[in-house]
Amino acid sequence: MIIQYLFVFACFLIDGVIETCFPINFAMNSVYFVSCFGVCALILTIRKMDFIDALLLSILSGMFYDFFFTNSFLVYAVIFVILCFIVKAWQKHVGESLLESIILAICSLFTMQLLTYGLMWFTGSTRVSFSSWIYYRMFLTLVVNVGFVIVLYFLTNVRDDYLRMRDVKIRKEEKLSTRRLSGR
Amino acid sequence: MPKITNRSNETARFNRTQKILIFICLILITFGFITRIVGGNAASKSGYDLFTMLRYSLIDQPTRTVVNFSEDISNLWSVQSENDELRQEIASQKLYKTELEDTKRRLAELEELQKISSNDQYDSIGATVIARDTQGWSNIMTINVGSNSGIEKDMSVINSKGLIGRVLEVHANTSKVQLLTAEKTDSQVSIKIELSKEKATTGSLEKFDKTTGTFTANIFDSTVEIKKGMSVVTSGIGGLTPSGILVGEVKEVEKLYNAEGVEVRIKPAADFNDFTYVSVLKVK
Repeated sequence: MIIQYLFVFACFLIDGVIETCFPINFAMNSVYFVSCFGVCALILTIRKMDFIDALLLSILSGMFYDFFFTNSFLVYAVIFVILCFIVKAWQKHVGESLLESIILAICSLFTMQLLTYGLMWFTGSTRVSFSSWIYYRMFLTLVVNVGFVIVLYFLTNVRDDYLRMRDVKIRKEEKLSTRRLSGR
Repeated sequence: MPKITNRSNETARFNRTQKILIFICLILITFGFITRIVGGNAASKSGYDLFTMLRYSLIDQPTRTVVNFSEDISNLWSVQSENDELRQEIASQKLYKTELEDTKRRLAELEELQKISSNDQYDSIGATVIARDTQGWSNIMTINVGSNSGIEKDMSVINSKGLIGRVLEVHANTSKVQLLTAEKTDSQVSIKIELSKEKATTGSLEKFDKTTGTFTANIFDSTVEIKKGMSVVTSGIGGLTPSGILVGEVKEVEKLYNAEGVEVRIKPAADFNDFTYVSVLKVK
């Protein structure tokens, strides 16, 4: 489980690198994208976890994002928890193939961004119209993050294979220890 | 024969790892409450400084170093011609500097003779942007100078092209700057539009319209003729922002019927897409 947590946090750090290379256009007078590499990693990780583990990972990721990136408090922690509920509800209807993973991740990401936009609209932080938000921000964000999901799909498979092999190795060693104890 | 102990049929709700993680969550929430709500400026400032500097040193600075290095490599071909141009500019800078000092001296003498003082004198404090709003909602960035460098709240911030924002919050070694593109702001910049070399009209910058990418400004005098392309600069009224700082140029003019004044749309001079080096203006 620790490896999964570290994997998600590393993906958020990669987000920071991508955002430094491709900074957001504050004037919003051209199309730009928001890197959600960490969020996609979170979505692909929590769908295979138990509910409590997924919830804890969402809360910790949200708080990490709040403190480290946005200097807010509990905003993204709550948003990521809602995201966790959404993913857990939808994962039952979706398989684990690449296409289905992309669909799940992109739909969850869009819902999360929509929630954030609604929150910012409600608090008066933005008056950007919905159509402008879709055109200038969301369109390219979703397109670019599809690429990220494809990369993450393979990375999570490598990670899960590594964890599986490690578990097999531990179980083999346990069997050997049991045999030695019983004197065989 | 090993001893068999009776265990409870109930399994623990949380395993050991989960309990540790729950404890970490509670610690972080408590820390967040202490820095945000309970108060303690020192605690919140050190918390913000710590995370900002951590992020800057771990992510932003190394990434920018690599990006700048690769850009420098790709620009090597044009270095020779750029060097020649820069050498010419530096040679003429010495002449401009001498002329400027002479002009300043004459201005000071004239002010002393006429018993007046000019209030648009300012010092410029250079700074580097070390953190930007990653989601783009709050339009706030962090610079690497703070109260230790003489920064105070509400000081104007400019980049090489024009006015970009004002200082929102000051810490010991960093400051938060709210950009002019922020939609939620409680301060307006007073501006003037240069109608001619001798005449100007004043107004105030109301808001930034992200749909059109322009500022909306109200000009108090509805009788003046404002044309597209006229320069818009700060007026210096209020004392917070020095006068003469470029804001943008007039893009569109709309006369408000049955209302006082004129609404003007201003195309910003500064590029809000990407900037690294800024200056904070300290009015004398």
